[in-house]
Amino acid sequence: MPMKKALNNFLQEFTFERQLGIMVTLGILFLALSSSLVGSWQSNERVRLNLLEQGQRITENLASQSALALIYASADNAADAVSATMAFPGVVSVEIRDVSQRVLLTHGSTDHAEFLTIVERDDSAQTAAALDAESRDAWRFAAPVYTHPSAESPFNVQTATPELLGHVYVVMSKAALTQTTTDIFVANLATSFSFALLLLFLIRFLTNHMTRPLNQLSASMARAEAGEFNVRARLSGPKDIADMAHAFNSMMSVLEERKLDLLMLNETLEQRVAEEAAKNREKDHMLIQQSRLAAIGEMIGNIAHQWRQPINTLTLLLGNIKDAHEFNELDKDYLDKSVKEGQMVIQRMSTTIDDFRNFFRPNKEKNCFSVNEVVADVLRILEAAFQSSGITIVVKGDEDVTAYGYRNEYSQVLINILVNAKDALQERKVLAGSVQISIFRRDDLSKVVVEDNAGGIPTDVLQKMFDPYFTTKEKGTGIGLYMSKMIIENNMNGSIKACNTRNGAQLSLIVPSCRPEPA
Amino acid sequence: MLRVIVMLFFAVLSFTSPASAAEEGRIAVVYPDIGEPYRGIFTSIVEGIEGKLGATVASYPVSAKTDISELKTSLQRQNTRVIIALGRQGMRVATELSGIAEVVVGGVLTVPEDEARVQPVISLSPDPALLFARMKALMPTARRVFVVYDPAVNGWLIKLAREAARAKGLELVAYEAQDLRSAVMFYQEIFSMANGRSDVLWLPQDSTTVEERSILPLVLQESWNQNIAVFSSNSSHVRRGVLFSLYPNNMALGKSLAGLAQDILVSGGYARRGMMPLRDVQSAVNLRTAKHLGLNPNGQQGFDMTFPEQ
Repeated sequence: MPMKKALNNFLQEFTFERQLGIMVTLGILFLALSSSLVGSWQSNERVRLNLLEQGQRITENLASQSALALIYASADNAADAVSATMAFPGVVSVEIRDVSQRVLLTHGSTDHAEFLTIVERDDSAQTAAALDAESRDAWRFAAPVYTHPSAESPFNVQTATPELLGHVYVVMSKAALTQTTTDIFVANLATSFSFALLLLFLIRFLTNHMTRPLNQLSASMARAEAGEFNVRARLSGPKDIADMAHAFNSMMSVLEERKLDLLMLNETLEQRVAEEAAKNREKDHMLIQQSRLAAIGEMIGNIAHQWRQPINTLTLLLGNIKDAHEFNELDKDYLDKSVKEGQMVIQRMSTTIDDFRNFFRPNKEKNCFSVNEVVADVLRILEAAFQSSGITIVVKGDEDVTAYGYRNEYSQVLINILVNAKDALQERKVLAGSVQISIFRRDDLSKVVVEDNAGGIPTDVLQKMFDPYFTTKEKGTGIGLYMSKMIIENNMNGSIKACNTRNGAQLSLIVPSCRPEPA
Repeated sequence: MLRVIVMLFFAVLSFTSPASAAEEGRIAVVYPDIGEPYRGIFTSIVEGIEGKLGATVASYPVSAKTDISELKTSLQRQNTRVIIALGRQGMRVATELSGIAEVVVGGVLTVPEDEARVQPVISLSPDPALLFARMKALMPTARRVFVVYDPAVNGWLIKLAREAARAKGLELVAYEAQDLRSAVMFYQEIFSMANGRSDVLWLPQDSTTVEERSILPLVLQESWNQNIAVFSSNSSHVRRGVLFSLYPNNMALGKSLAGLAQDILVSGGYARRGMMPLRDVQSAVNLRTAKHLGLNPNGQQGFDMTFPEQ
């Protein structure tokens, strides 16, 4: 784990160039060392084999020259051969023994007890010189000495077998091997490190050649990340890095294009937002107009309804005046009374017109108005329609409840709500239809609750009733309640909510009250 | 009556004529398929055989790879009755063919006793009688002949040598040595007791007791130093300093072998079996050695080869 941590640190903290440099350096050094060791080992083996071979040849040579000495049991006959053998580098001692292992001649000094490792050989190898034993510092070679029968001729039926005369032993020191091994190792190491150094420089040059464009590319990327515009990488270095730089440049071009498009989009966004807002306002205006027209239509219906009775009254009055004249009962008092009554009816009809005109004159400014008065005005307009439908209206609650906003729009909303309640009661043919209007004052808010007993609004309608163009009426426009919501919530910072009661539906209007005037 | 006798005579003649025997292919020669200088020797022997038979003889060079069955078929086709086997390889092949024909062996130095028993073998080793005769001619004062031999190789020859020595009034002192060191010991003993006036040393054809590299130089040196005459059954020793040697006359040997083969054809079987020494010989002398020993070989008369070469 510490190794892993160290490795992670190495990989994360050092730059790529540094990592590459360190890894390559370590790799080359390791390679130099291991190749030196392997080379030395191999050379050691080869030198060892060469020395063994040399030892065998020397021993064989001595054996071939020792036959006479063994035949005649005369050491003098082998003296020259022994001297020549001793002259070979590394030969420490020489010994000639007869078949009975009696020493015929010995030269040099060797303690045979030091040869602990005896090399086992099979019988087939007994005819040639071979490694006989080995110690830490020396090898001992042995070779049998045989007679040399004459060359086989086609006249000899029996093949003469060589006769064993004795053995020769040659001891060779391993000093030469050790020295050679050391020399080879040092030479290999020096050579390997020299080449390693050269290679290192070369690789450093190549890595620089590779990392420079990478660094440049990295710098370009950093500049692009910092938000710099028109950043392009240089196409240099190895092909794959140049390809990377090219890809980066293409990416930057596309990015900048998109940025420009975005900028342009942003710039036009305000304009388009404004356009859209204007369109929405236009739409809202149209909706308001449509709503107003719908309300006007409704109102005209109400006016017609309200005027029906006065017109009937006037018709009755005129009829009475005619009848009175015909029956010679028309006198000044009767005429004055009828005229006064007629004027009162007309006055009432005119008030309705005024109410209608005032109602549909949009307010330009927000003002403080009396909610109670607005409710009274609205009821005045709708009273007749409700009565003719057999619907009772009850008003209760607080007095002097005020609201801050647009009076006429508020009135429009109330009318909308009350007309919807009337339509619901009529549609469901509720026998004792009633609408209760409650007016409250709560802290800084005015609350008007309109409750009917028309049986309630279905849940799915309740969720969508304030959506534009949503209607349950066959010939409805679907904008009345939507406009009411817009007026109360958007224009007057209030809220309008609908829910069901035990017997019917309840709509609540909450609008901020007027702020009290400072004393 | 005379007519009958003449007709019988001619019948026997035709039956036994050499030309007849050869023409019927009843004698064949197998010899080693080998290069020079040995090929020339066997060629001479074959020439001798053909000379004796008076006609070309079927001769087959053989080696270790020879197809024996094919050779057998060929010999049978030719109605071969006697095979003259030359050399070691010829003898080995002939041994495998002995079922179809009788065998006469020549061109070998010595044969193991059990093999020599079954057929006649003319050895390349010169007859000791001839050697001793030549020795006595060269050195009349010679009385004792020393020899070191391996009984496994030359036991049969020494038997003949004892008889020959007795016949020539010589004492044969023979030492049996089965290895080189024993042989050296004996030679050392010989040289310690021998004197140049009456003692001579015989070197038989024996790779154990006359080893070329270690014994021959000793013998030559000691004999020179002590003026002891040495004669050899190996002619190559004469060049190196031995006094004289007898060596094969190849052509004559061929004739002898052919004669043996004819005898077999005539008699229908072996008249003789076993090792026979070589009697068809030529002689070589080393004049320098002779001079050193104070001998006069009558110039070059009687010797077929002299050394140093003139």
